[in-house]
Amino acid sequence: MGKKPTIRVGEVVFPADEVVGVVHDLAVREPGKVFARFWPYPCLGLAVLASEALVVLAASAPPELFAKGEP
Amino acid sequence: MVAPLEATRRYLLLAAGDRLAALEVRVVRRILRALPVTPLPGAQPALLGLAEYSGEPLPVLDLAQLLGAGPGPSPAFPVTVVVRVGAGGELVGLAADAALDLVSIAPGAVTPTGEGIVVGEVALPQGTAEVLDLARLAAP
Amino acid sequence: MKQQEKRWTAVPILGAIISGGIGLLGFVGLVIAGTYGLPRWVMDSYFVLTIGLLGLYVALVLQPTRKLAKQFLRLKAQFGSGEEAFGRVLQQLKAGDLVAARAAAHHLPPRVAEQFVATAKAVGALVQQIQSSSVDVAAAGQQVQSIASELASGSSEQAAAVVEITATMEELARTAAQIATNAANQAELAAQAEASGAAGAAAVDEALQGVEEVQKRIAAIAARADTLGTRSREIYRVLDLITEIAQETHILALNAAIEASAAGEHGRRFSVVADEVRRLAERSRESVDSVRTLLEEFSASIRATVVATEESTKEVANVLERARAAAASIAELRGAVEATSHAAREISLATQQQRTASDQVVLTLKEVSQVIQKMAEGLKGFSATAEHLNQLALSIQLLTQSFHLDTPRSVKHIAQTLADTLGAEAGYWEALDATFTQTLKEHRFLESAFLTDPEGNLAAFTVNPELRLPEGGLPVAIGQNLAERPWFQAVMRDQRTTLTPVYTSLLTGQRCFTVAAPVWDSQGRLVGVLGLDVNATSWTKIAA
Repeated sequence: MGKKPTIRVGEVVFPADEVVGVVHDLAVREPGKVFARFWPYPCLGLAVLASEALVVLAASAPPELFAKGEP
Repeated sequence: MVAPLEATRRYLLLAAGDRLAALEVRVVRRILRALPVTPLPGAQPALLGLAEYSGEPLPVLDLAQLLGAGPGPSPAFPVTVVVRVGAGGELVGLAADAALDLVSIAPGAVTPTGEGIVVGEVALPQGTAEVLDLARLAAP
Repeated sequence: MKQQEKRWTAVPILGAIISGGIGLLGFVGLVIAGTYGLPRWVMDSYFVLTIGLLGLYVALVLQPTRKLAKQFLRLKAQFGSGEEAFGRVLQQLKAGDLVAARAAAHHLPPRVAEQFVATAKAVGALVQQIQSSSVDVAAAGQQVQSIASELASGSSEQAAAVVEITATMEELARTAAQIATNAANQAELAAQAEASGAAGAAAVDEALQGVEEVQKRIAAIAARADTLGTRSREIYRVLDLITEIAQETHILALNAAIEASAAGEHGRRFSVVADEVRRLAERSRESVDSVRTLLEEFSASIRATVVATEESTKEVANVLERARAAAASIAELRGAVEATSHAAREISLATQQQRTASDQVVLTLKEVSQVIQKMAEGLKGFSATAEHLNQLALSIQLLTQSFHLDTPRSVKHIAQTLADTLGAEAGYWEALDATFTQTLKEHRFLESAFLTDPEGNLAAFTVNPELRLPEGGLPVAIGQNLAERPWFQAVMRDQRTTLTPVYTSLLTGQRCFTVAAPVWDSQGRLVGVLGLDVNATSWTKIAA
């Protein structure tokens, strides 16, 4: 395989290292101020899935750092 | 100078790098053995990443970086201190090298310095500690 | 011829007898006739017969006889002159003067003269051959002499060499004796060394055994240290575990205290418990620390022990190495000692052998020197023989010189020619010295030329210009009378060229002889005696 997967959402292409899974329901918490201060990008919030903490992104408003490719 | 017990507050004394930091216990939710942290792309350096704490996502900050501390002795038992920040009570994790003790500090003993989250300094038997006010983290 | 002689000599005798007989017969007849008165016719016939017989006799016997006698006398005269000539020839021959003999032979009857000349030539040739042969003999004699003297010097060199070798052999024998003594000493020392070597080897063996024991003990200690190390590692793990538990407990206590402070009054008793727990955790940590410290110390000492045992092991290994090296050296030493003893014995044997050998050599040298001596003596005889040969050659030469041949080698010829020249110039003897010098230069073997008057007084004396005069000056002086000299006397006696025997020259000190010749003037008068001194050595060297 070697080639990194990309996720296309509409016209947006997300580069990825790995696709872990797909879920339908996710309890998303709003990002706090501290978090936002230290991670100042648009996102829907934070969630936990299978003991892993995640940042949840909106497909409609991807952070630019992804669009560029590698952060 | 030993202050009367009623006038002092209880602080948690932490070691981070080559510094000592004192946190009011009322902001400390829990002290844990250092949690595994997943780093986030594009994060500020002080944000180590996200950790999972009781089923909730927890952003973890590096206390040493927040303080601008230099390197210290290698920690034998590093901890993550779960703290409540600000009025909203946002839970944030602070990665520290060690949780040393609970100490009583009289406000008058603190010499104010006013840098970032550091309110001031206080002389303790363990050494000079920087007293922190984490509410300033939430400030934009 | 004798029979003829007899016949001819018998004839006149017979004639005399016959005529005497006839006369007697006549007389007897007359007597008888007278006596007996025989008839006349008998006497007449007898008379006629007698006359007839006489006449017959004269005609047939006497006349031829007289003719014969006349012829005989004529022949005798002829013979007489021939004999004279022959006598002269023979005289010249007797004196060895073949040249004069040839001249005299011309007066002989032609056939005889022919034969004689041929004979003289043959004799001359023979004499010349003898002369050249004698020169060869002289040369051979000289060669022999030179070889003999070479050999003699060679043998004296050899003799010297023998002496040197003998001296060397003696030196060698002394050295060998020295070596033998040294070898004997060495053997003794070697025996002593052997004894100490054996003791040394035993000591080293003991040491090695002891060291090996130590090695075993050290290995045991190392094993024990190993075990201890393992145990302490286990203990460290336990301590780590305890430490972890203490840490967790500490945090637990902190959390509890925090909760308690939040709980306010209700939490106070709990916070006390929490404090206790915290203190317990603290004490655990402290005891863990002290155990850890103790363990550290213990580990350190174990490590030190391990290190020490390792060091000891190394040390022991070194000692072992050294001990083994020592053992090896001792073994080598013993080997060397053994070899030395062996060598000493060999040397002793060898020197003995050498002594025998050098004794033999000395014996052989003695034999050799004897041989050399014999050879030297032989050479002396050889040398004497060579000298004898030389003398012989010279004698032969001189003998042949007594023949006057007209060859340049003939000194008689030289002398005679010179005498003739002087004779022709008699009275004009101013340039005598020049004449003499020329002759001397022509014939380098002549030492000197001199002339005396008929009384023997020295009139002229010239020395060969190539000769060095003796230190004492000339042996004779002008005017000195030399009539006593043998050559003078011989010339005066024989009136011909003579040679003296060989004598030592006063001029050169070498062997020489004198050839002297009479000097006749044109009238045949003796006007002087010429003498030439011939150096025998240089004369024999001149090729014929």
